[in-house]
Amino acid sequence: MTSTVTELTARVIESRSLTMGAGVVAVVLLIVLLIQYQVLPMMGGASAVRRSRVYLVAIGPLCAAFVVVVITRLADSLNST
Amino acid sequence: MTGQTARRRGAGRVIVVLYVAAIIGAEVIAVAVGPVAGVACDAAVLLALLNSYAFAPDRSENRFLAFLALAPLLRVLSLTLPNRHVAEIWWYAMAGAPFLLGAYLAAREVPVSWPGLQFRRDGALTQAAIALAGVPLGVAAYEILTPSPLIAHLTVPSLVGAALILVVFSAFAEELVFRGLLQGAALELFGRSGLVIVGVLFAGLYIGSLSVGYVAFIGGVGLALAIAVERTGVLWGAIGARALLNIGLLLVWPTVHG
Repeated sequence: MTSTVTELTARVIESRSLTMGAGVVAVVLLIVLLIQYQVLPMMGGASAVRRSRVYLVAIGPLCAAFVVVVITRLADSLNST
Repeated sequence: MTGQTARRRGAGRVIVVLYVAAIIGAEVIAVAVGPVAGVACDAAVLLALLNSYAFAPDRSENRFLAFLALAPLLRVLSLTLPNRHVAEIWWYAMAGAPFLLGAYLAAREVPVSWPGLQFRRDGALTQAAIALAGVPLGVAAYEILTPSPLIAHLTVPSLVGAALILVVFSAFAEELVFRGLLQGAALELFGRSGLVIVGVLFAGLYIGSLSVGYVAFIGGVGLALAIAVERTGVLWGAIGARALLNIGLLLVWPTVHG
């Protein structure tokens, strides 16, 4: 039990609807971050371009997470067939 | 410091405290209302934190906000990535690896001085002593939580593999962020009281353990490690202590007592 994986994580995994709900929230968050990452530099200046890079702090991990989820779900479905 | 600068920093401190309260609030919502509501709150706070940094001038109070975004990011990852078809020990790697990537990107994008990862031979004994404190802390943590073992049939190879995962993706990742990046930014903004702010945040992220006693215990551990890192300027002792605590709590003591 650490702050990386808590009792709540186990609770989410027990229910497919909770897993789906949390996943949808994460995907929406990623889409909003990607839009903001593209829009902020258009507001002008080298400073805006540099500061928009802070969105990468969340975009990078969420993209990596998306890839991991796709791979594990694919492996699940291959195993079950 | 001019009056205007002092007022600006004061306002920045209030905003930081409000964001820390919001992150802890999201943890409470995840427990009391439901994990999806908690993740939605964490996503909203994460977005607000990154926007606050992106749209505001580059000052110490704003730099703290960029690092603070790593806390709700950790919760979003830990509630969306794990999969019941994957062994529980791998959940730590699945959530911890992207979290480490986020920490690396934050350290690269946001300028702040933080306790280093360099080895110093003169302080090696002190760091080893700090790290060894993790053994009794692991016993105490087990007595509070009494979790079931992460691996049902522990063998030497499985113990080594699981311990490596806990060291890298839990102890190293969390200490790098909380005692490294966040503590560095907090000391810049709050002075020594920043240790308490980060300690409260760290303890708040354990609300999901569903044990008030453990939240208080880990808050105390976090504060003690924060003081040790602040005094020595090196993270390795704290990383070692957390590693031994986690290995004892999740692998060794549940197997010994089970």
